[in-house]
Amino acid sequence: MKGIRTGPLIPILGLGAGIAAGVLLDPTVPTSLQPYLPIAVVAALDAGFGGIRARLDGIFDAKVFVVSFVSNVIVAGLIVFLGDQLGVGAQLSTAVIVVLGIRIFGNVAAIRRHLFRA
Amino acid sequence: MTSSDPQSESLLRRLLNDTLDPGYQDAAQQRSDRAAEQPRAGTGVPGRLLLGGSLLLIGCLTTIVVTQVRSSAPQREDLRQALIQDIAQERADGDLLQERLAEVREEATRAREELLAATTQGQTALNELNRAESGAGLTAVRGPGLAVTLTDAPAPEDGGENLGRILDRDVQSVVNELWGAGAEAVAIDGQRLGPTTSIRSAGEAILVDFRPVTNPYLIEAIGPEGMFSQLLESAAGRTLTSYAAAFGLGLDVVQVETVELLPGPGAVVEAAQPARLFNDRGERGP
Repeated sequence: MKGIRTGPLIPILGLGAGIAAGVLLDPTVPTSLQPYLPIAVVAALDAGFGGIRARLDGIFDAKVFVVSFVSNVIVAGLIVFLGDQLGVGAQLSTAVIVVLGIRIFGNVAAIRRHLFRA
Repeated sequence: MTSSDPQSESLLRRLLNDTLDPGYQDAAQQRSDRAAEQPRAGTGVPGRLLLGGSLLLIGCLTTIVVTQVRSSAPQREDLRQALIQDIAQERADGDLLQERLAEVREEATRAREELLAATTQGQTALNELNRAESGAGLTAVRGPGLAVTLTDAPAPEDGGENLGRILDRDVQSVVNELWGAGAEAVAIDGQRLGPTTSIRSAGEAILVDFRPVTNPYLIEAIGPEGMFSQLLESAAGRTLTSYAAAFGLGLDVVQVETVELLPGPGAVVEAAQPARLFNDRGERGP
């Protein structure tokens, strides 16, 4: 079974445009959102590496990728927000980072196996 | 692999091994199920645009956070340095003020002595003042006296209550006997006692003017020679001697050639009224 042939052009273009926009526009983030941004980035990275691995596994699906990315970011932010309200924000942040970190690590290991066959 | 708790093991293993979002597998399954009718679900222009948009967002978010963390780190460092400078500045100011206070205080004392020494009435007042100040423990004094050392009995080996522990009332009784025997100045562990000094327990600790003193308790007193025998023969002295025999607490009284006592902090002025420098006829003096 072959995955979807979305050429790497569009994702790479999107990523480059995003980085360029972040550097050039230098947007200021509202202070109330600042604590959740790093968590959101880690969640986004998790989704990104998951997508790359799925593509190498041949089962990539744009819809699944977009949904997992958006929901990951929102859920991670919400968990930390809830933790902040309950007074355990730091601990919940750690929990989210640990789980997402393990997933990123595992996905990167899978990508490495695909690319280097080792 | 065996485990006593298969559920937690499977949870950990799932976390470590199944790092890919299960959605991909499901979607692939669905696709292969209906491969005949819809060979390429999820492709097309909207799918690609969404993909590109998501990656754009990822890049944007990452850059924002990186720039933010980078820009806020030097700010924090600047703030810290500024605070450190503020602290040093304020500390130097405080030292200066402290010095100035000592100078002014000395000037005031000198001026007072000069003014009062001019007249016999003033001389009397000055003598009275000096006596009051030394009584209040505001001047450093030295002279012959006593050193009384009270020591807690060693803790009992069975871990029971230590009956030979020095209590606040033991210290109080010794100090009271010393005052009663004519002591002019008393200090506990170097802390000069004033007219309003308190000796109280707080939990296991004994506080003198709300500052803790510790075992062994050294009570120094300047006073007449009779103090030694008077203290030992007093009710408090006899009680403590019997406690020393019964419970093993330490009571050690020695006569000392010269005792040097530092001035105390002085009592806070709680009530004052302006002095009448001129009488009703507008002349100087009461």
